[in-house]
Amino acid sequence: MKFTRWDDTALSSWIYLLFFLPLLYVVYVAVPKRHRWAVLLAASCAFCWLVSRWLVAYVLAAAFVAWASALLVDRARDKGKKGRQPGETRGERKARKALTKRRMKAACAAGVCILLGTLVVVKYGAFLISAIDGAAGALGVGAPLAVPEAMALPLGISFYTLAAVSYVVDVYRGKYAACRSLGTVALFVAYFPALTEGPIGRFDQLAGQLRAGEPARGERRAYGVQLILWGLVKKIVVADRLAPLVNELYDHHASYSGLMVVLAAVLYTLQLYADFSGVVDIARGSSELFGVTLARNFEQPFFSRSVNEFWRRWHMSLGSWLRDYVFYPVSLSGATRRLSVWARRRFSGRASQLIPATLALLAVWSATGIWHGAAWKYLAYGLYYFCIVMVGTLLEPAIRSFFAWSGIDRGGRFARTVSLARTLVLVCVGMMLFRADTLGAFRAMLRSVWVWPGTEPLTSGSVFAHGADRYDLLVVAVFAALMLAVDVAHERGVAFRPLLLGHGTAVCWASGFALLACAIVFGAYGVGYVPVPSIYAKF
Amino acid sequence: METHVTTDTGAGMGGVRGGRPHVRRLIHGTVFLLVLAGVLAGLSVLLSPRTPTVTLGEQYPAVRGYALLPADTIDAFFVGDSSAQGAISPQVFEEKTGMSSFNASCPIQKSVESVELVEDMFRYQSPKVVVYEVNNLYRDTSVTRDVRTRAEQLIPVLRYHTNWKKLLSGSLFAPAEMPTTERGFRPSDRVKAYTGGDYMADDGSTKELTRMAKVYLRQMEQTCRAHGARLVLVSVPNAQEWSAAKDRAVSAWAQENGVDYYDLNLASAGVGIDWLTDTRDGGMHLNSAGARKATTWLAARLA
Repeated sequence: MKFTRWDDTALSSWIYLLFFLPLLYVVYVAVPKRHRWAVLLAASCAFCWLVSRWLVAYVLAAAFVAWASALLVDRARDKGKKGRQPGETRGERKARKALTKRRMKAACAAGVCILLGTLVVVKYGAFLISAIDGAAGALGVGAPLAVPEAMALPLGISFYTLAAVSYVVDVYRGKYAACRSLGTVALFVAYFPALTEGPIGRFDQLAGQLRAGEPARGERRAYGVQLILWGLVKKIVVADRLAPLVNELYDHHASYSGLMVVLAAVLYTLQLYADFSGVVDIARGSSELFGVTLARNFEQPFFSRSVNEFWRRWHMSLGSWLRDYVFYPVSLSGATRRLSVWARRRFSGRASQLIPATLALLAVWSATGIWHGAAWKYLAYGLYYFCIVMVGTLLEPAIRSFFAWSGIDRGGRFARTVSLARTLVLVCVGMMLFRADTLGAFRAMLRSVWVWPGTEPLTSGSVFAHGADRYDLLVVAVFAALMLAVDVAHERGVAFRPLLLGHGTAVCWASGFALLACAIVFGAYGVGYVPVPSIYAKF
Repeated sequence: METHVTTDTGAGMGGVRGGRPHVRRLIHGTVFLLVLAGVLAGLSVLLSPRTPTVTLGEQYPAVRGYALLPADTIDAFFVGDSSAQGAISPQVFEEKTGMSSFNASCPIQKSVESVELVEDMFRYQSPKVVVYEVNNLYRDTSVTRDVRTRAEQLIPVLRYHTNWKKLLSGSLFAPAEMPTTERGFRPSDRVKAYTGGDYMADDGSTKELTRMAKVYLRQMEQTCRAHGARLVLVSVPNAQEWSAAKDRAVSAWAQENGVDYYDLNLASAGVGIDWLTDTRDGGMHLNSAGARKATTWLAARLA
């Protein structure tokens, strides 16, 4: 997937942290309150322009489509209400309501189709044509298609498209009225901290904050800066430092086996978590400076006891979006209801309930996979979790019986530890699939895990010749332990914000300067390091 | 109005009236900046190299070997990218002119780094002539590169932060890596011919220097003048990257500013490079045979 000049303005770049953000904050505070939302909008457009140049038109067009279609939905609703005639019969009222609903649905569908259609064409167009061409070729049907080159991706298209769709659908559902201000909708869609890697926002949660124009001062500003620094440490100290070794293990996977493949899976999982959560922390911290609180996107995901729980704690904004705009609509759709009736007639007990639920879950997990990218491996990634969830659901009665028979406390420490370890293994295997170049490469890596011991590159030290020496891994280990400690504290309900900010200026500043010093000294930048793009920004 | 203090207003302890909150903010800001400066300065002192060539902060630390030579013993100083590193031999130069010299060129050296090296070199040496190989004037003369380099000069820890590895291993205090007898020159006996034709064919165009490239040239010229040295611009034979259009632009600047400029790529120069035998990689860099010819030619004009 192609980007145009995006590295220089990635959220972890010095241009963003030392120039763009501070300058914007100064301007934001200086302008009158009623104009501050416009400053944020201009800054968001400027951010998008710096990264994607003319592709900023996609973001603005998406904002316009969302604004216009939501207004049309509301207009249809209002027209329907105002169309009530005195002495209207029941049949006439029913017809009026049906007409209103059809008009609302048409406006909503038009907006959603344009938004999602743009995403499909831009992100998946070349892949779909290639897939059709491949299938046709395998079946010996038709002439070969000219597969176009992948289009240049507008910055954040996978994120802002979902945000825009959520706005239109929420208006259709009557959750809130359509916003008359194009500027507010544009700011919600294009809001720069969340543009590259989320979190995917909801209009009712963000719009008020975006228009309020209340910059952070004092404690809130300190919290925002500390969040930025913590995110920066995770990104440039842990994630970027692991990148060369991870790339070596995956790009030349045929040269490695056994423990080295296990190491590849674990290190990539750590790299992805540090990278993604780090950039999201920078986004949230940046947003705090302007008085806008973005939703958390991670909740200690590696403390999960099942993959279901993992996906409730990992990339939470995507999970909740898929729940609200894929799972529920599919579950409550006419087709699923008819399937449910059919299943109840044909099957008894659990099977009749599972069949319709399976349809909704299949939709959700397929969407989870393909949202990440235009490649078969991403679809496989989603279906991997679908299979795990379905197997877990099918085996649930047997598992309950086992615990009852064995006397082991399912909520006890032993069972919790086993389920935690099991989930970790499943997640790491999933991440290996996610990172592998192709499905074939994943299969080869999985097979080679069983070649034991395969530790020669580690014991001989040759693996340290690929961009991450012993000192690099030592630093990664230390800061990964720090990340773990923070997550343990969060899991136990310890809130760091009052801890760091509630003990006076000295403690607050000391923690901030410590993080800054760690980022400066141990960051993977400068001579000998290649800039590492944020992983999720390419989705 | 009720004066209600919350921790999130930043209004300070004294409420919202009077000048006290502003004074408090000013004091906080000043103390913050002083502490920040102190932290950066402390880290810079801790991690800056103890000797110029023992550092992880420079990709090619050997370019600073001039600092390890006895003071004021260099008569000529060469700087530029890998073209110059492979084309100018201080040993041959001394053989032809009797002048000692040092070649501080290295691969992918940027113009701003060449300027920095010349400025730094005058702290240790007093050459009569500084020879700047101008190929890197057409590589990354962006403002962001300039800002980044200036920031590293101002806050050394940004450049030398990786030295924490040498600090942990104890090698930050290791003895200096003294320059070899080659004094920065990179010899090579490999031969890979260039067969691409006349790369200096003149179509009349000019590849203009960027604004920053001209700034660097001016800075280098002023630095040399301030130290009583003569700046000479040179373009060594480079069939892959040089052209008549670039020559025209550099020549124009040199004429406007009264600086000597020699383009060894011109057929009229008569350097005598044989592109079948005198290049190690198909025309981008000379090998030792080609370097001897180029250095001899240059020595005749600088002696």
